[in-house]
Order: sequence, then structure tokens, then C-alpha cells
Amino acid sequence: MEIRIIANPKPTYMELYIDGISYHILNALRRAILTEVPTLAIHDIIIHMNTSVLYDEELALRLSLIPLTVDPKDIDVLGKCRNIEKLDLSELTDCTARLRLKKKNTDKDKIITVYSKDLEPIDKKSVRPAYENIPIVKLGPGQEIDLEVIAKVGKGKDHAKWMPVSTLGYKPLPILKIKDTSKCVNCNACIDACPKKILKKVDDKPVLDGLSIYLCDLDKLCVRACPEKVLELIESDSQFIFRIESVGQHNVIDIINTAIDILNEKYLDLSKELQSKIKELKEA
Amino acid sequence: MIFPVRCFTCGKVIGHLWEDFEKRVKRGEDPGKVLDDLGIKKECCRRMFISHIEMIDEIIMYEIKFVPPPQ
Repeated sequence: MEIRIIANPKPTYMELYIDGISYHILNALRRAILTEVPTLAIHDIIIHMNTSVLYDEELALRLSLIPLTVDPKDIDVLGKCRNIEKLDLSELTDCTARLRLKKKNTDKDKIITVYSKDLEPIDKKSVRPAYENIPIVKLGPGQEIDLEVIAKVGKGKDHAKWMPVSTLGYKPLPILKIKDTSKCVNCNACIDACPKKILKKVDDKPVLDGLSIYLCDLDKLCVRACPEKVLELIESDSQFIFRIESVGQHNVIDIINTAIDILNEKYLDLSKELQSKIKELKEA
Repeated sequence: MIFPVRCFTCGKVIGHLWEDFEKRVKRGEDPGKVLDDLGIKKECCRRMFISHIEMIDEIIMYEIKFVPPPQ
């Protein structure tokens, strides 16, 4: 297997070129990242006062979508809280955090904005939003909000707010083939049909190479445009581009490693169960 | 009403970029170039910015003028 990092401009974004892996392995990884990697998000909200123009529900929705980061010393999100379903009540308190949001507009005629940075942690001091300048609500003169929120560790399979990534996917690399080279005359139809203009002409034949392999959308417009029907665009079954964009709680390397760990644990559990069942059968 | 925290389609957090975008577009910059500069590449996130109307300011003024404060 060969892996190359195409782009990694910041810790929350990565594009990988992977050679020598099959569809189902990559898809298992993708689904494990989406559904099993835990994150921290606001889940319960106690509203003491809300005279803003947003309804309580709308306020709750906006708050829950704010990604929260935390020091692993306070809440070990990717470690201990990974098995959130199996923890008992006393351990669950280690996977929750309380925050407070209190703001009143005392100005006579100005409108103020409440930002995500105004969320103040109560018990675990290192909990803070990943982005500080998300507007939560705007307050007119005399309006106020006073909320207490409880953030919980959860998983993407329960609610999309707990997903660690925003966009995550893979695409196979294209392979351009000419079935009958004698019929491929110098007609330029495929090169003109490409919307991205990435097909090149080498020895009067269309060629996909270099950067155009990564840019190709696999829309197959070139295949359709060919008057002799000799062009073929195949999706590779072992070469992929894997793109992952974190929401901001974890960096991408941690997300991928945790997902692989979780998959490993699940398969080991399965293997253990199977071994004990076989043992029972033999003894009986 | 108020600018969404995340993109409706892909879930990318975009709320923190709105005020910067609004300020720069009001100053006369080209919205497309501002979005390129802010790192908003996908079309789903870009439409969130260019199609948004910030109505909450007007609604707050209405509320203050016509709705009596809670007792």
C-alpha cells in the first residue's frame, strides 16, 4: 500500500492519495468516522431567561451546533469516553461539562451580538468553543438571555451534531482507455467536450496525466462525445483520493486513528465471542 | 433571520466568518473574491453567504417598539 499526502494546509483538513486498498475497507473507515468517533456537544439546556427574538428551541439548536474543544485531562473524549454506552452513572459525569451563557443589553439604542466566546465553563475549565466568533443571538436594548447548558460526549449515529467531520469521502482515480486505436482519428471531440479542459493531446490521442487525474470528475462527457465509441473511462478499484475535513474538535490524524482503533476493537470482540461459542460446542 | 452556525448541506462551521464577509462586502469588495479569501470553496457553503438576508435587526426593532416587556 502506498499513501501520499496531497494537501494538509491545516490540522483540520487533509487529502490523501491511497494506492492498494479496496472499496469496502475504505468505506468501513468512512462509516466508522461518521458514526463512531465521539465528540463533545451541547445536549441539555436550562433556560432561566430568554427575552430575545429567537425562540428557546431555535436558541438550543444554534448552541448545539457549536463544536466544543476540551483538554483530554478534563474530559478524555477519544479515550475513556469512547465506550459511552458501557459507562456507569459515576463515570458518565466525567464525560459531561457545564457551561453558562448570561448576557444583558443595558445599552439604550444599540444592538449587541452574543458570541460563542461568551459561553463560560462552570466545572471543567478547559471546555471552550472551537470557533470564538460564531454569533448565537442578537439582543436589542433591554433584552437578556440567561442559560445553563450541559455538554455531553456523544456519537454521530445518535445526532449529526456529534459528527467529528463535515465533509468526508473518497473518489476513485480515472483510467482512460482507447479500445481500438486505429479508429481514434484526430477529431478532438472528446477534448472539446471536457468541461474542465483537462484532456491533453499526445500523438493525436487523448491522454489523462499529471494533475488532470486528480481534477477529473468522472462525468464521462468525453466518452459520450466520441463519434466512433472507442473511448472508455474506468474507475480504478485500488487507487483513491480520500478527503477529510474536521469540524474543529479533533485534528484529522486523531480522527482516523480513533476510527481504526474502534473498528479493531469491534472485530476483536466478534472474534472473542466466536471463540467462546466454538469452545461451548466442542464441550457439549 | 440570523446567519446559520453551519452549512445546511455539508455541516461545515461557517458562522464565525459572517461578520467579516458582511463588513467587506459592504465596503464594496466582490463577494466571490471575499469568499475565496475566507477559504469557502464548496458551492453549498458559498450559497449560504450570498443568499442570506440578516433580518434579525429589523425584527428586534419591531419587538422593542410594539411588544410590551415581560412582567
